[in-house]
Amino acid sequence: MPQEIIIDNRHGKPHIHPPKKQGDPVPIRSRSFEEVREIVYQHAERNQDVVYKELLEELR
Amino acid sequence: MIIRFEQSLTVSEFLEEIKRRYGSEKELRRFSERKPKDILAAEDLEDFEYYSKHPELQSERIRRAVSVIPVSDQALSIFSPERLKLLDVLSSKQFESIRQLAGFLKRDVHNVYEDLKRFQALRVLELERGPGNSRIPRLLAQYIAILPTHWEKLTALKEG
Repeated sequence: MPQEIIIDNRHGKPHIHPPKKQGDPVPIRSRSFEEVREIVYQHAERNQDVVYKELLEELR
Repeated sequence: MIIRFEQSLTVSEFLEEIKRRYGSEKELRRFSERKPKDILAAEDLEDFEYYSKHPELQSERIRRAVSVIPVSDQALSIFSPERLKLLDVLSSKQFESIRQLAGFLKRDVHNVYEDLKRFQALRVLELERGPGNSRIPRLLAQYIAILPTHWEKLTALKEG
């Protein structure tokens, strides 16, 4: 399980940074921080883990 | 909980940062062509080209942020006393190498390097190329904000 989920809005558009060795940052849909946090926590609660590829689909 | 590392900089500071990071516009272009999947480099290039063509925007401010959503206790270790001291020192002093910084902090150079790499991954700082193999640590974030909510969900997850 990754320690954390990193969201970067360096260029005004949000990107998710994948856990180590799982590729490059990927753009995600613009949402409020609360929404992103909620999606991440609901994902972690449902899976009892963070499955990066699935989380990515939920955030895109 | 969300931990936000924020940076506010002018367009001219942004252009300087890009030159520092990649060397020159030409090298950034070459880097971006070599690594087409690196979206951040592609966007650095896009922004660099846009702002270079608009000198009237040089004093405009850009706000950038990296948000960290912790999903384990380990994520919170970024706030150890040693790491906070490291950030504090970097906010007021410049060092020519990691070794010099480690010497100032009276810490093992390898441990300081590991801490710097962790902050670099969070885009809190950058390690600029110095003479030889040295790396110059440079703090990027000016604000660190903690938005403490939903702890109960995280605790339930860990206990469950």
